[in-house]
Amino acid sequence: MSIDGIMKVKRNDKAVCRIIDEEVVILIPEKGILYALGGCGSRVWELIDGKANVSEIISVVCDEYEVEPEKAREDIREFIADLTKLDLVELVTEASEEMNR
Amino acid sequence: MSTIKLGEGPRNLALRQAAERKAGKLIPKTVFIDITYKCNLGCLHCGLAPYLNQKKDEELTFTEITRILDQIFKAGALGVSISGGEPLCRPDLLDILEYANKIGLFFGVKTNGTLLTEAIARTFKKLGVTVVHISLYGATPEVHEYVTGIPGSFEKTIRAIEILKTNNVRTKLNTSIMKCNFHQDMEIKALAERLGVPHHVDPLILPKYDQPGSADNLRISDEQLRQLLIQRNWMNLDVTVFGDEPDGHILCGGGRVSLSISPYGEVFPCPVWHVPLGDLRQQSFENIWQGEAVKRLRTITINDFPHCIKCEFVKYCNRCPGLVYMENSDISGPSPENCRLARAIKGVIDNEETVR
Repeated sequence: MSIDGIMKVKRNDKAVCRIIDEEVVILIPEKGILYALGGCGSRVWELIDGKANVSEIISVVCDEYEVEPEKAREDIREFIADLTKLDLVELVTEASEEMNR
Repeated sequence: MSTIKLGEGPRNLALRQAAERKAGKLIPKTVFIDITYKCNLGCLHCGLAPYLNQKKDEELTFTEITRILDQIFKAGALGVSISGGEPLCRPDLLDILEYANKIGLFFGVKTNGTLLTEAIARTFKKLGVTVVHISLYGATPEVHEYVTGIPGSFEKTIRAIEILKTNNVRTKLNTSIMKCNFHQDMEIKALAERLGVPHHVDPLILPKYDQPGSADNLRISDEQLRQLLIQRNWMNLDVTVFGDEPDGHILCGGGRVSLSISPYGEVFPCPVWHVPLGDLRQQSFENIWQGEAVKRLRTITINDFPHCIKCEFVKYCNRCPGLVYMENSDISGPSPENCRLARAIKGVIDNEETVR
């Protein structure tokens, strides 16, 4: 999956989450499936608010964690691609936002 | 920074619990909590009617409920189902839900919707309610309000469904089908479709507590039941099977995966089966969950129901011990109403009358 830095990341509206033991536990009630995100993953989930784009999320993580920017870019893009495959988030382009208006 | 990955195994509490449950450890999955027996409607068929608005005791306080939620979470439950009475009759409902969210419990809410507002729906969404179940008994005010006994309740319930939909709150409609609303079954289905919410019908009408036989005149006839099964594919065969026995579906989850709590802290196997197992004002949840009374429930096997396991309808039966308890003094015996439903399902299947 090609992820462009300017794409905004939006949580699946059907997902509900709780913080348990400092991890984010995400439930899709219709499917009854649980996912857990720990460490950086839970921070990335927090940053996914439908407004921030991929580059902005990477930038915040780079500021908050001791990490090589190139490595962070790679990891976070891969992580967001995983979340997208699991239908936990969707990537929104300006064009798709325009179409949904 | 280490690589950020999903699915690194069950290191999370909830996932650990799921793994432990799979490995055979008995952990409650969902706990049912009736937070009040106050209700603003007076439904014809309500099994709780003898309890509603009766002050038997002081209801659990907010502080008591939060303590119980902590204990439920600690016992490993994934979530709670909040019901009543009408849970919105409690002014602290949203505080209770907020607390459940804070400690990491998932929750659903069962309501008649009449007291629901835009602000409440927004808070439900914000707090991550997993589902809101709404009861709807007719496609018109006349029929719905014949059941609820309260003029204006239809419009308020429909408005609640619309508000929940607008706020993207997962919502389901439930209809208890009786003689008085059977004729509107397909109209209720069409209304649910127009509202864009899934709809579930249930012909199983429970008697009022301590009043065996009180549901007999409300229940649909055998012929209406046959029609319902055909029209709606109401087979109700999607049930949990406990244990390895072939007919483990006639065993109940009460005490195995769930328990139920009354507004006074009494603990029962389920909201229907009111056999006392403990008192949360005197004992902890864990103490009751691991206690002798609950352990005895878990020792029940299908062989404890000699009549049922020999019955030709057992495959189609969703035997409810709560209903047996209310209808039949012998808890090991059958429930005549469960028998009737199972017989009807088998009849329809044998005659290949389903529209499936």
